[in-house]
Amino acid sequence: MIIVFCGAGLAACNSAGGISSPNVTNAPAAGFGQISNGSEEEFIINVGRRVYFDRGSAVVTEEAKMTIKSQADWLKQNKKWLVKVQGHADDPGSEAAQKTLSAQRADAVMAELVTLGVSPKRVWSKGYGVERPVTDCSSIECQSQNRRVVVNLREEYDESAPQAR
Amino acid sequence: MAIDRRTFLGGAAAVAGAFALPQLAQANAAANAYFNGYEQDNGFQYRRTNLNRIDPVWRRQMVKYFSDEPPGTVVVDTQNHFLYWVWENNTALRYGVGVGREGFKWYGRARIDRKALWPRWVPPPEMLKRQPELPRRVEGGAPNNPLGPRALYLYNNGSDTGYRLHGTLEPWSIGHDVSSGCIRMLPEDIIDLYQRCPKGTGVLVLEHLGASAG
Repeated sequence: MIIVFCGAGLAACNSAGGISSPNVTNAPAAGFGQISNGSEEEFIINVGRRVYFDRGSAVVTEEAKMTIKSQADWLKQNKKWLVKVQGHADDPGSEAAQKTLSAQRADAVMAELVTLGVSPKRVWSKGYGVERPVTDCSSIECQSQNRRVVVNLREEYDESAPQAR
Repeated sequence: MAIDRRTFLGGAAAVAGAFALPQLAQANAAANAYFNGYEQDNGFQYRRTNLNRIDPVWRRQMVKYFSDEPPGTVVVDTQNHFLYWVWENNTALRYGVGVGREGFKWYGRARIDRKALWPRWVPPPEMLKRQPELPRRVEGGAPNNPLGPRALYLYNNGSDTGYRLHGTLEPWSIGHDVSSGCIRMLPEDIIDLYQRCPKGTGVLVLEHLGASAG
């Protein structure tokens, strides 16, 4: 794959310590060419969906609060979106314990959003435990990414939303 | 000579003291076009970037990106003045960066082990040698602090590489090789990146091929 990209002259290739990284990068990602205000793409680029947690903790850090504040401000401006707050874990402990931790993380972010003025009718939460890692390895580079909550914009409630019942 | 805030904000030329006064005024006017107002952040303020003045290629954008690096990794391409935060499904959030001469000397794998809000700046000895007029230390949040609102410190096997991702007072330097500093980003962009990269984030700095390492 890499050889094809480099050999075809489509893009420059860089190397670092013997690691090649094809640089086929100048095209906008699908859906991100023309971004309109209030779109999911705009939320992803200007605000960000992810909030991170310390190892084994469901406490919303001061750093996380900065992201959640931006998310709440955006959500209050863009009321058409519902919000599924998804918790994840990659922490010490059993899978069951991590499921609980991930749900606590999601609940903590949801509570923060509601405190900041997002209507509780629009938000619900779910913990996924270790099921959906961003990336899977046993080092901190991966774990730090996985100890997270994703604020996911939705147009409808799903089966995990109490509002739908 | 008392250096006032305006002089500092006038940019690199002003700081270097290389311009005569009429030229300085002109440089200030040109520099001011890169800003539109101020943004409050954690008790301090920075000059908001006038994005209309920034070439679209350097603005934050989601691009296709095929790489073996796992999502969440930061890839710094000093040669092309881009920084990528690898996202999902072969995409990455791309930012324009300015690259300092010191930045070329180091490449390889690192990790963000330390992060700082409004970091204090202490110019390294080699920079003071080149520019003896520089202050010995600038507190975080000071209007002449070249690191701007955030810094991400790159470590390798637990030791500080001396290499940082930080903000800039000189938005015109984005997309260019500049005389000093590490990897500089628009203040809005380094704030954004700071929020996306937890401590422990992996970083790959690509070699600056063809550039002098000296």
